[in-house]
Amino acid sequence: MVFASLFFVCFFFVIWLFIYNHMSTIRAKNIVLLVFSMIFYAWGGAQYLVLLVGMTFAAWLSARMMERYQDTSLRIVLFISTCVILIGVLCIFKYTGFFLEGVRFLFGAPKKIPEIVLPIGISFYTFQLLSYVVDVYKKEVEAQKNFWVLLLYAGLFHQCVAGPIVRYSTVAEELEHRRARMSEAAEGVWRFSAGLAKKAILANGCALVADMFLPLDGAALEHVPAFGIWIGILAYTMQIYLDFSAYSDMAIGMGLMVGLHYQENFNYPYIAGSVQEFWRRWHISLSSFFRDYVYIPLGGSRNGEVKTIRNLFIVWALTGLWHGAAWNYVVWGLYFFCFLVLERFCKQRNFSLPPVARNIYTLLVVAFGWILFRFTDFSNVAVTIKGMFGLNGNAFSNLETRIFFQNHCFLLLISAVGCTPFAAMVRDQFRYVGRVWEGRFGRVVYLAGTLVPVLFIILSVMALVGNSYNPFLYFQF
Amino acid sequence: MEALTKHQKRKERERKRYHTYLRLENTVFQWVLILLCVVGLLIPLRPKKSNVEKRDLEKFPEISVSGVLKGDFFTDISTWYADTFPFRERLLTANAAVERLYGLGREQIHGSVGTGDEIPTEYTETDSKKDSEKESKEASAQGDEGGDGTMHVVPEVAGTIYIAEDRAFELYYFALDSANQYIKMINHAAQLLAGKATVYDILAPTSIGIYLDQEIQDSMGCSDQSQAFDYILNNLDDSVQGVQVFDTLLKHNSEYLYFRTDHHWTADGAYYAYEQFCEKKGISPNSRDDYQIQEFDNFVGSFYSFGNQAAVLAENPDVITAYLPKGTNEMTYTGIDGIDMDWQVVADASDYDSGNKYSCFIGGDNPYSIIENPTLQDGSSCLVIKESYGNAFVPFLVDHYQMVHVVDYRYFGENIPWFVEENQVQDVIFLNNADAISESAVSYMDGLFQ
Repeated sequence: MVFASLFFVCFFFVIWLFIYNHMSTIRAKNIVLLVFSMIFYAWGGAQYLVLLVGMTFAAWLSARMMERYQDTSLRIVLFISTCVILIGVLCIFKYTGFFLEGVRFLFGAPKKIPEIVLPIGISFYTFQLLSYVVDVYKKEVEAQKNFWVLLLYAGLFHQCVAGPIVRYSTVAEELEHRRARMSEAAEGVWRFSAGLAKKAILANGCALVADMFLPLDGAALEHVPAFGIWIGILAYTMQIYLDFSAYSDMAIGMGLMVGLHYQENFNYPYIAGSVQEFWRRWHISLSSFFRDYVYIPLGGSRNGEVKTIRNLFIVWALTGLWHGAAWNYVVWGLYFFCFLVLERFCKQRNFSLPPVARNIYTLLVVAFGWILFRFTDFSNVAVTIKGMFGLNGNAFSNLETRIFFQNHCFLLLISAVGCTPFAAMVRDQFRYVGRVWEGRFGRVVYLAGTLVPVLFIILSVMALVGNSYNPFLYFQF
Repeated sequence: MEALTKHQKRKERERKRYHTYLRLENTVFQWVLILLCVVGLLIPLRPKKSNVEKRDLEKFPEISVSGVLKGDFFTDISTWYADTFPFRERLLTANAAVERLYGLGREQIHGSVGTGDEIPTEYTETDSKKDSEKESKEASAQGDEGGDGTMHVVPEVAGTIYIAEDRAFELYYFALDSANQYIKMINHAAQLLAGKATVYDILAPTSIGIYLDQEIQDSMGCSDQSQAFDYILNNLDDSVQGVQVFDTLLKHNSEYLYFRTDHHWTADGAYYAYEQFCEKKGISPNSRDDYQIQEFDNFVGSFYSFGNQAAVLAENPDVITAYLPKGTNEMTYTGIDGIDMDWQVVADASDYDSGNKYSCFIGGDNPYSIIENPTLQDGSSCLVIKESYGNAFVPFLVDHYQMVHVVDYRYFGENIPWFVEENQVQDVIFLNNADAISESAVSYMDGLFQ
């Protein structure tokens, strides 16, 4: 089930919220949450539920035993074997085909590569469970006694299938003791509706433009004029952010409605002034996971320049690979590694770009990165780059490109604004006015603001009707 | 001290007001969602068919073990739920209105822009084996009996549609190979009919050649229809009476000669072709003032469905003006099912689907139709070989022949030379529009002479 679908918005979500809000005890609320989460997960194939429950059980059991066998060597054996199991299952499902293709390339065998369907959300919940096991091992959190609560943590439908990757320590307390505050619930309503509109209207709209100008089919790509390629890259850059952050917005919003606080996953990444800053603002829950569970355990930046660069290399190769089992994702990760090393180098020599140039540089690096991200086939990347500079033998623009651009120019403009903190600032002003100004004017302003989420929902429903095309991009992970 | 209390009071009021607002926000949100949920559960209101998209909507899936395990069953439920959402068409229309705000939207293009072959001035032989890809551009059509008893015609639009302001066009690309085949086919027909009947060939331009600015046509790589027709007519056998109607239509292009929402010409466009035909034949045409007129409004034609339901077209429907033949309005046609039907040359289309009103002319596209004019007893007879462009044209012929036979080459199965002899036809009139000079159309017509 995807969040931006009519079935979810108009049926699943409503029924869940209604029943949940009518439960009086936290225990009953948790049961409702768990049952709905399991239904949500089974919606993508009931057989994969076994995997989710099984992996959670392994994590739960080993954490419990690690706590029992304090200070024995069994503890470390348990820890390592659990990590191996969790990562192993992820690798089998995600990387078998990729690995065997590499083997076939080198040795000519095997002839037939099995096609393995990636269970929904496995990349996300495996990382959640890993963080739990590691944190218990490091004694940073207590092991969860109740298996069902841990299953609720791993399988919670808000974030189970597409993030944010919530650390157990973030929600451990709230899983069993929480209160939904009115102000937070209202904030949740905003986040949920804004996220839905961001996905259903802006991201899907940008996707149309991106698909028009950056077709996945190489032959068609060659005929796109330079202007089209640039617009396509712009649209895809916006699409990928709006799409992914929309999912996190909806997840965070639903959490707030019931008193669960998830970590922010995006912080307007496209306003970043360096690639390093970009990654502090983009998919924060993933980059901080790699920082805390890979980079720092490897020694971080404390063991001299060579080892730091080695560690960065490992982290970025893994980050790339996490995004997809194909070489273009690895190259994409290492592409960022290069810029991060470069920036490190510049910083050591106190070299920096002037403010605006800094942002443009970052945006160009990131946007170019998305070309690598989009095309699994490297020859298409080459065609795109040539096309950017008009080297595919096309005119700068043509009638089709002009018309398509004209017919989507306002959408692109609004999407661009949607990538900045502007909208949130406007909303906060509305809130402030409604709260502080006495009298009718303040009231009207606030009431208008109240209706905005509803407007978002209605516009999104309209956009979703009859629109079967729109799986969230990050579902492939 | 007093100031502080005042401040506190103010803060307290603020807090309360804010609280009320938040509660309001949450409540409104929840009730709107509950309303949506209830609407979604009104199963009987769920549509089963889409009129706009001309397709059956998703059905509720059948449950199976593997479907549950693999998730297909659930995915299908989600799809069904979304696809058959109550008030679907109205929501789609509303959404289309929102989408128009995405950009300036003065022009639209649906399909891809290409290039036509160069049009030679002299006859240029082509290898007829190549260019098989062009076949995809061909026109095809079929009729089927709709639930309301009117004919539903699948429009013959297969090319790229360009919409500017409130008018749509189909882009025209010349294909030399098809043109050559067409020339050969007509010449062959004339050879077989020599001494039996006179062959007329009327080439009808499509609206783009008559109405759209040449510069815009060039920017989309479109071919010049006037040149294309010249090429064809210049290479026809001397015995063939070629009727060039392009210039006349161009001269009158301030008139309502083509529909804005449909790929056909209007009866007025067909009238100018009729005038030219009469001149060629050496008879005098009726004046349009002599006819009784019928009008059918709210016609939204093929460009609407093939132009991705462009709202500008739906909002600016066409009006069909039909001229009733003076001699008779009665005719008989043989449907695709082989059954004969008595019909009207100009039928009342007021109650037809808005997309289907062009069928008011001679009952739409049928394999064979015959109109007998009781006011004439001179044994004069003609045969029109046409695609749907001929439909608006045929009514004008009725007053000049005792018998008007009409054949739609896509459905008719008999041998024409034999038919001409059998029915003592004197004039064989080909009426083809620019887009019908295609490989498949020509092969259909060719088949009638084998």
